[in-house]
Order: sequence, then C-alpha cells, then structure tokens
Amino acid sequence: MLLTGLISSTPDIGWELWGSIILVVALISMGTPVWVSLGIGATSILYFSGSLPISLIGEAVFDGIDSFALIAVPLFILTGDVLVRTGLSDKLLNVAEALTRGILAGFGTATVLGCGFFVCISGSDVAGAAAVGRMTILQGYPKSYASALVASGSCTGILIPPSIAYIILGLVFGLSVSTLFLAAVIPGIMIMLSVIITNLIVNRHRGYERSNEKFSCKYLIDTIIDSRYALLIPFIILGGIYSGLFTPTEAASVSVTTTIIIGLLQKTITIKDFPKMLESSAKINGIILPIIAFSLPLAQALASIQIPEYLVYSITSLTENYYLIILMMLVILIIAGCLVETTPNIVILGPILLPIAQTIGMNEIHFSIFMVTALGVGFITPPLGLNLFVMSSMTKESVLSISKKAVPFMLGMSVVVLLIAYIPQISLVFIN
Amino acid sequence: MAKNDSEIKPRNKVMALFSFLENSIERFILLSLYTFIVFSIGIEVIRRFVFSFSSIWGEEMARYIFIYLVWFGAAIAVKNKNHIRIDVLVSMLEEKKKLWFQLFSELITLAFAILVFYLSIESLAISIQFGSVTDGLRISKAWFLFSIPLGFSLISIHIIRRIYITVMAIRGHNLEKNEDNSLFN
Repeated sequence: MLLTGLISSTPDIGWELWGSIILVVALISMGTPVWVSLGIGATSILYFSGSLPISLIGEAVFDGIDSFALIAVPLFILTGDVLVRTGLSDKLLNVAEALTRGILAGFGTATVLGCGFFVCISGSDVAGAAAVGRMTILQGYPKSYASALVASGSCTGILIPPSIAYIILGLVFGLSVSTLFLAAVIPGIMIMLSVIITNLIVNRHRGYERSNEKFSCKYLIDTIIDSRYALLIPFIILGGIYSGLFTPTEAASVSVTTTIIIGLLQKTITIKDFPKMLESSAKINGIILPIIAFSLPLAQALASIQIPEYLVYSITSLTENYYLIILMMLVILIIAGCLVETTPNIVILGPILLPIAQTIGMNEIHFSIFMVTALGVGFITPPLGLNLFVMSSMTKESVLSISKKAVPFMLGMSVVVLLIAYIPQISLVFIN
Repeated sequence: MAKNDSEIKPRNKVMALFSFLENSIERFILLSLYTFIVFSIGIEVIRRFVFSFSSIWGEEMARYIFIYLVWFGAAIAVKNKNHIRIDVLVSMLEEKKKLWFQLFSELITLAFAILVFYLSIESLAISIQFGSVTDGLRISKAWFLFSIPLGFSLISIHIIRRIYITVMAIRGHNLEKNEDNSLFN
C-alpha cells in the first residue's frame, strides 16, 4: 500500500532523461562547444518525452534573452575591455597597492583586491584571471603560488557586484538584480577577506613576500589623485546601483560611456581602436549569451518532466536535516562549479535546487548568494577547477602544482561559504 | 583581448578580397549594433534625469538590437573557435585523433545550427502570418525575429569553413597560421 503510493507519487524518470544526460556529458567531454551540447540535450529531452513542443528551442533563442537586465552583460564586458586598453586598470591596481602597502604581503593583497574588482567589471571570471594574471605574475612569488593566488582572487569576482552571475540569477529566479547585488555585499567581502587572510597566513609561514614598503598617507593620496579618473568608474557603477539611481544596465551604459570619454580625452585610445575592441567584446558576449539561451530551455525541459519535484522527494526522503541538506547542496555545487562555467550551472541547477532549499526554509535571495559563492569555490577546487586550468595555460605551470597551492584558499573559502549558508543574516541584513 | 585570432591564409586575390570584405562588413555591423545599444540606453538615462520622462521604444530597441548582437558575436566566436569547450580529455589524445574529434564536434554544431535555423524560420513565418507587432513601437516583430535565422545561417557558414579547415588538416594541409585559439592572448 505504502509502496504503491510511493511509486505513483514518484514521477516517471525514464531513459529519456538518463539518455539525454549521458548524451550531454558525452558531447561535452568530446569537446563539443558547451552551448551546442546543452541545446542538443534540451532538444533530446523535449523530443523523447514529448512533454513540451520542440519549437520551444526556436523561441528560447529569442524570447529567452529578450531582457533589459541582460543588456548589462555586453556593456560591462566592454567597460572592462576599455579599462584595460586605456591603462585605467593599472591605475586601479596602483590604488589597491597603495591601500595595502603597510601590511605584510601587501602586493598579494593588492592582487586579490585587483582581481575582485577587475573581474566584477569585466564580468567573466576567466577573462579576469587572464587579465590580472598577466600583470602580477613574477613579482617575487613562486609562479605556482602566484597562479593559485590569482586564480583564487578571480573567484571573488563573480561574488562581488556587479558580477554577471547575479544578473543571470535575477533573470532565472525573477528577482531584482539590484536586490541581489545588495545582498551580495557582505558575503562577497567575506570571501575576499578569506583569500587575503589565507595569503597572509601562508606568507607568514613561507615568507614569500618581503615588502619593505611602509604605508604612507602621502603616497596613498598621491596615488588616488593620480588615478582620480579611473576611480570614477567603480564610483559610478557601485554608487549608481546601490543608491538606486541607476539600474545595473543603465550603470553599465554610463560607465562604458565615461570610460570611453576618459580614454579619448587622455588619448590612450583612438577611434581606430574601436573595431578591434568592440569585436573582442562582442565575441565574449557571443560566447556567454548562447550558453544562457540554451540553458533556459534545458531547465524548462527538466522541469517539464518533473525533475525538481523528483529531487526534492528523493532528498527529503533521505534526510530532512537542515545542515545535512545544505552540505549536500554545497558538495553538488562545488563539483558542478569545478566542472563547468558558472552560467550553465546557474541556469540549470538553480531551478532544480531552489525547491529543495525552500523546503528547508531557505529564502530565495539567501539561496542565490549561497549558490554563487559555492560555485565560486568550484573554480579553484583541485584537480578540475576551471581557473586552475586557465592559470596553468597562461603560466605554463602544471595544473597539479597550482592545485597544491590552491588548497588552503579553497578550504578558507569553503568555511566562509558554510557560514553564509548557515547564517542567513549575512546575506539578508540589507534586505528589508 | 584576442590578438592572435586564427586567420586563414588567403590563397589568392579573390580570397583576400573576400576575407577583407567579410571582416570589414562584420566589424561595421558590430560597431553599429554596439554603438546603438550604448547610445539608446545612455539617451534614456539622460532623458529620465533631465526631462523626467522616458520612452518605451528606447528600451525596446536596445533589447532587440542586443539579440542581433548576441548571435552576430556567437558567429564570430565560431569563426575564431572561441566557444567554451571542455577539452581536457581530448587534449590527451594524439594529434590525428584530436582532429577527428574536432571534426565530429564541428559536424554536430553544424547539424544543431541547421536545426535551430529551421525552428526559427518556423516562428518567423508564424509571426508574419499573424502580423505580430512590438509593444512599444508597434512595428512588425518579424524585423527582429529575423535575427535568429540570420545569426544561425552565419554560424552555419562559419562552421562549414571550420569543417573545411579541419578536413584539410586531417589530410595534412595546415591552412591556419596558428592553432592558438585562446581568448586571452
């Protein structure tokens, strides 16, 4: 009696799901572009289950990305690109360095701050790792450790507003992006601090960096005056969004215009640079957005065969312990974050895991922050974390040697993520 | 960021002219699309602050132009092999086998692009048939739905070119200056 009840309440998860999952995994591991693999996965679930018409795919590529909030993505990417080309990004790093001069390992700390800021502006964590890595590697640190530090610093980028991850989450969960940015402030800073502190502790033991520089107010003020135009950009973006003056998209548009005007006035860029600049930004945009466009129908296809309900059912039948379930989600997210880029994870896992989070009383916003931070840890989780590979391909250090040095950072970040998960107030303190 | 875009050596003057046209046309279109988005949103912001008045169509146009930008960008990323792929496993193989896997994934991409092209033509046809218009400007939505078949035909053209390059590489003719396709050089 009970058994038949169980079976009838369990949705029918048949081969159309498992076959499609195997297909997607096989395609991805054979090196098929991620957006194609996801699109084929969605098509095959829709085709074999017949739960929704296949024309959904044709609509998703238009309606799915028809959103004002998403326009912020290319604009932030372009801002990041212009900042690099105009050299304003170096000025920002100088400020970070001047701020952290006095403390031990000031250079490392500045790198982490720079990574966080950079990535949050250029939007893509991988691009950020590359951009900052180029500048900071080989400054007294062993290469493998510097790589691990930059890889970890770049993880903080997707956690700190205005990261693209929150823009996508806002789209998927129907939340206000500004609210998410607000909720992300303290968690983002905590994760960043954990990386900085880990770096300090490691430095104390190993003595990688012997900075003789003393903190000096005069130097700091000089640097700030020298970089006053560069500092306008974070001021516009963060100030504009947090004060409620701009939506993220508008802030992005204003910041891009300002950066270009500064660049043109200071003659660090000319009109001739524009085609190349726009092409590379459009390309990055054209890499991120198709993944969103095809993750959405895949998420819908999974929902149409009741995967989220099935997962809630099977997990709550195992345990209903708040702490255990969060731990389980954390493990799933770290593994996912270490295998694939953030975007498909957010769009696909978000709607699947949210019902579970809600059954244990987690708020939507709290869950969003927890999810993004956990995915961030995945970036440097050995041996597969994406940032480790990016740094390895840039520095020619082996993934293994970078992985070893990344372990303390990964542990430190995981502790913070657990804190964020178990203490909702960290994320919700500014909300209402 | 990408300075070392893999470029195909033009084999004769006709090819050179073709690639010049293609590059400049593509760049011109991208330039216009991007500029349009930045300006239309910028003007909306100014309008709101200075005249405390905002129009529906500025936001709407930006949204639709953005969709054009996305699929144009996707096509260029196909051309330069920039799309995110997980090639940890494949990179362990020897050169020849790697190429076969690459050919396979490119054929899959082509098949999928053609499928999406077909599906999008369908929804374009339905939209024309029922004469659907946009919310703000009340002009035919077909103008914007057209971005999908256009984008995916560009993607198909570029992937066919990539397939040609891969096939030639399997047969021992390297048409590319370098195989470095990373975004970050």
